[in-house]
Amino acid sequence: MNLTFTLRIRRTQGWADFTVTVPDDAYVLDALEAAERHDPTLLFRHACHHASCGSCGLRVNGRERLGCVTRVAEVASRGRVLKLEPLRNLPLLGDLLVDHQPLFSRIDVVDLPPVRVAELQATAESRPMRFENCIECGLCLSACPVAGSDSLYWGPAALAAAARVVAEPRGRDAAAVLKFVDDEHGLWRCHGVFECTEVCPADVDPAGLIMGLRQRLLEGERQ
Amino acid sequence: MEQMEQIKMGSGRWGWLLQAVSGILLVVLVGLHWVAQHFLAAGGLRTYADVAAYLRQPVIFGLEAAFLIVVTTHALLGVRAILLDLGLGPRADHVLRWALALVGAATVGYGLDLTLAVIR
Amino acid sequence: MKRWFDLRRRSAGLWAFRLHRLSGIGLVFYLYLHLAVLNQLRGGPGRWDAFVALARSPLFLALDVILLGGVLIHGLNGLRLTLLGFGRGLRWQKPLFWVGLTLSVVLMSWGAVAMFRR
Repeated sequence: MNLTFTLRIRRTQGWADFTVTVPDDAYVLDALEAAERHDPTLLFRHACHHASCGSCGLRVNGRERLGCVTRVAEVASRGRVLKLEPLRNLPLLGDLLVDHQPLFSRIDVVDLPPVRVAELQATAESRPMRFENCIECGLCLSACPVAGSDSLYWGPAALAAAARVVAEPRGRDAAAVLKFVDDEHGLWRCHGVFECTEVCPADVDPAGLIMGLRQRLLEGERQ
Repeated sequence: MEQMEQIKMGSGRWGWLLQAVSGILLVVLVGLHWVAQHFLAAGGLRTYADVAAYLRQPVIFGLEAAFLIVVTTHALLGVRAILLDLGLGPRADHVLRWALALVGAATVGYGLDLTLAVIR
Repeated sequence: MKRWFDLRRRSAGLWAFRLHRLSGIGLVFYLYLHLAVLNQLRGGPGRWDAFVALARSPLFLALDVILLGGVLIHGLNGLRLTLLGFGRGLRWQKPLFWVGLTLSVVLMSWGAVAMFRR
C-alpha cells in the first residue's frame, strides 16, 4: 500500500509543496528523498537513517523529530498536508539545513567522553562499548524557549553533557565543569519547561539532569 | 573557548534562591494580606477611617510592610529574569541590578511613606 | 486523527512556563497600579470613599477575580518550580502542573462567588 500526500516544506524562499507517494511504512526522510527527486536543489541533512548520528533533526508539524524514525503514516494521511520546517535556534543554512556548529562547540567545551565507563567495567570479558546517550541532534535546543530568546544560553544538550561529566568524570575536571555551568546563562537560565526532555529521541532527559545539578549546587555536594 | 569565557557571568544560584524563598514567603503573605483585609478588618476597609485604624495596629503594619518588601523583591527579580532570558550580558546586568535596587528602594519607600501619612 | 493533536500539542511544561510568565508580568503591572491607586488615600476620606465606590462596581470585581486567578496560577506553579529546582518531584512535573491549574480554577471560582456575594 502506498501513501500519497502533500509535503509542505519551509524552504529558504518560502513554503513549497510537493505531492509525494511513498510506501505506507515509509519514514519522513524517505518522503524528503522523494521530494528531492523532483527538485534536487532541496537542502536537508541525513546520514545513518537509524537515529544514531543525529543529522536529520527537523520540525514535523511544528514538533521536533528525527526524520529517519518518524513514520509518515503516523504524521500524515491521504489528502493531508505534512509540514516540515528546519530546527529552531540554530543558524539556517538553507531550506531544512541548519548549522549545528554552535551546538557542537558548546558541547565540546564540556568535553564529554563518548563512552560510559561504569557499564564497561561491569562486563570485563567481552569489552562492549556503552556510548553516552546524546547524539547531538539539536532537537532539545530547538524546543527550548529560552534558547530561542537568549543567544548566550548554554542550552539543554551542553548542560546535560556537563551533568554527565560531573556524574562520571572519566578523567575530566568535574569541579571545573560544574563551576563553568554554574552561571546565569548556564544552569540558572533554565525555567523547567521540560520540552527538551519531551523531544529528546535518545533518553538523555536534559531537564532532569539540569535540575539534578541545581540541586547539587543548592544543597552542597554530598560525596 | 574565548566565546564561552565572554559569556561567563557568574552563578545565578543566589538570585534563584532568593526568588524561590520570596515566592514561598509570598504564598503565606498574600494569604494573610487577603484574609486580614477581607475578613479581619471591621467593615472591610471601606472608609478612610477604617483604613487608618487597620494600619495603626502594629501587627498589621508589620504584615503589610513585610508584604511590600517581599513582593517588590520578587517582582523585580522576576523582571531581571525575563531580561536575562532576552540575552542580557554581564555589563548590562550590572547596570540593571543597580537600577532595580533603586526602583525597589523607591517602591518600598513610597509605600512606607504613604502608610505613615495615613496613620497620622 | 487524534495523533495530529498529539504531535502539535506542546507539553504541559511549556504551558506552565507561558502561564507563569504571563501572570508574572501581569502581576508586576498590577503591583505598581495598585500602589499608585493607593495614593488616593492622601486625598483624605472624600477621595478614598469615592474610589471605594468605584472599586465595588461589577467591572472592578471581575478584574479582581482575574487578579485572584493570576495570583493562584503564579503562586501554585511557583511552588511547583521551586520543588523541581531542588531536583525533587521530577517524575511528577506534569501532574503537578495540572493539579495546580485545577486548584487555581476551583479557588478562583470560589473567590469569585465570595466576592460577588458580598
